[in-house]
Amino acid sequence: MSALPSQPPVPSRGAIASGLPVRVSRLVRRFATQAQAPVDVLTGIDLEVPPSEFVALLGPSGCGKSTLLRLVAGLDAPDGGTVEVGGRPIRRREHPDAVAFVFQEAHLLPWRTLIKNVALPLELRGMPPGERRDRALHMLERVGLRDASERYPSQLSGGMQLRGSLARALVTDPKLLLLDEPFAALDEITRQRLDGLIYELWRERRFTALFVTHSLREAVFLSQRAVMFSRRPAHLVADRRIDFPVERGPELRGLAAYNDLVEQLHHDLLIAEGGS
Amino acid sequence: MTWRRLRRLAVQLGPPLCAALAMLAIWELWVRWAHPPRFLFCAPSEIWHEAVARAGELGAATWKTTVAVAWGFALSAVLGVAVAVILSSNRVVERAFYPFTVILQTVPLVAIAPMLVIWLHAGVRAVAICAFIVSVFPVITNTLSGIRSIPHPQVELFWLYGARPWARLWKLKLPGALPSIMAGLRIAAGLAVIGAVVGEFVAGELGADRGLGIVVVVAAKQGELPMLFAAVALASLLGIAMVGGVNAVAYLLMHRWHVSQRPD
Repeated sequence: MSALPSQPPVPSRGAIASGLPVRVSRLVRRFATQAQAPVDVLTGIDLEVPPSEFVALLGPSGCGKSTLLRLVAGLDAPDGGTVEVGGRPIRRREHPDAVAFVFQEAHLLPWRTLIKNVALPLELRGMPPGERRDRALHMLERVGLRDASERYPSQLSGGMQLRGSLARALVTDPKLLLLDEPFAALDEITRQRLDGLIYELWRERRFTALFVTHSLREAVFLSQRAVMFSRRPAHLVADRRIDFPVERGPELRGLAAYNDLVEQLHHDLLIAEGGS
Repeated sequence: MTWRRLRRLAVQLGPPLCAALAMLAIWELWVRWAHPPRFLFCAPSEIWHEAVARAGELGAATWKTTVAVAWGFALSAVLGVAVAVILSSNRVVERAFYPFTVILQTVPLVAIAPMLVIWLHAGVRAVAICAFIVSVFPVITNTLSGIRSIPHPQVELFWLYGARPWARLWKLKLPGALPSIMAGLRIAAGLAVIGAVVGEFVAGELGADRGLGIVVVVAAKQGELPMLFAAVALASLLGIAMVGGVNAVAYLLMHRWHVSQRPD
């Protein structure tokens, strides 16, 4: 009866695996350029992500992380290889509710109030107004924006807009969340707060997450696994598990194990920058 | 609140009104002291007296022209936006048909008007089409560039959630392009008045049932200078009213969310 998402809060790690697995095999993507030969961005990437894993995609700027993410979302078509989400090839409009994408900027529609922005995905699939309003409001409550629900995006700060876009992405209760450097433009404190929020939401809902970021600290804080790509054409340089004996919270950032991992990834990144 | 609004109105309307009054005063004084030839110039007071004396005739003519302007402008708004939406839907369609919209802009109205008279006979319909032809191009180009400027991630968002074409049109393209559409309509509002008045020169009805364009032509031929000026003044007032109307609609639709509508 409840209009809220059916997922109950999950008390402990790994209790329910409700995310979709992602399998990328031999993925090839090249972009045509005007003057020269096509640029190879991805030349045969393999990546397997089990259900409900939180994976950070790292690597030098322009190495093709975002391209990979867009291919997984179905926003772009590969020149070779396959992407499977939930065991099936991703195709146009096949799982409109199951996959959500968070862009670098919030991209809320300026002519809609915050709550109408958050309700948009539900509206587009034809949910009745009352029900989608309830769900959008619940989601806004969850990201701490309930009081701002009737405001327009131009009346919100950058951090609030991004929280709004996160709420919009999660309102359909997706099984796969793709995040393309969503917080790159924010100040450090706001960014850490939002990372904390994403982590909590992931613990509650156990979606699979692919998170493109430039921040190694952010990657270590959030993810269970960090994958490092080389410079173009991208190949995997490192694939590290990230495991901590403690709950992740602000105190994690002071932990020696945390800083060691960041250090290791930094080393990986230097190798990746060196290219091959 | 109301007091502040009144003040803002005064700040906006005060300067142009004062400027207009000052210019009229200089004009009046100049005519009274310099006595220019009567067939070349007349004083604002004469125009006013003439306008009051023939108010019925001028009012009817203004109404006649207003009807043609309203039809022409409405056609421009609806067809202009519709054509832009169709052009924006497909690159090939756009490349095929966009050049023809430029023809609308460049072919001289006085050359088309006689054809319209042949097809539609002189009258409101032909005049409205003249207003339409002159005013539709800015609506098409502005709407088109507005739709093209919608940020790509917003388009992708609609695609990701499997939005139907109809939803994309009403929930993304039209609201996204609205600021540009209103800019196009603002230009079209003034042009529609020009198109109607010039259209009447050629395609207007003669006799008692005439519009401002015909009043202008007749007054010019008969050397009735005050009447000529009165008709021109009414035509520009009509233009100002049209643009004001578009601005009011733009404010109603966008004041809560768009930067262009913020008070400074």
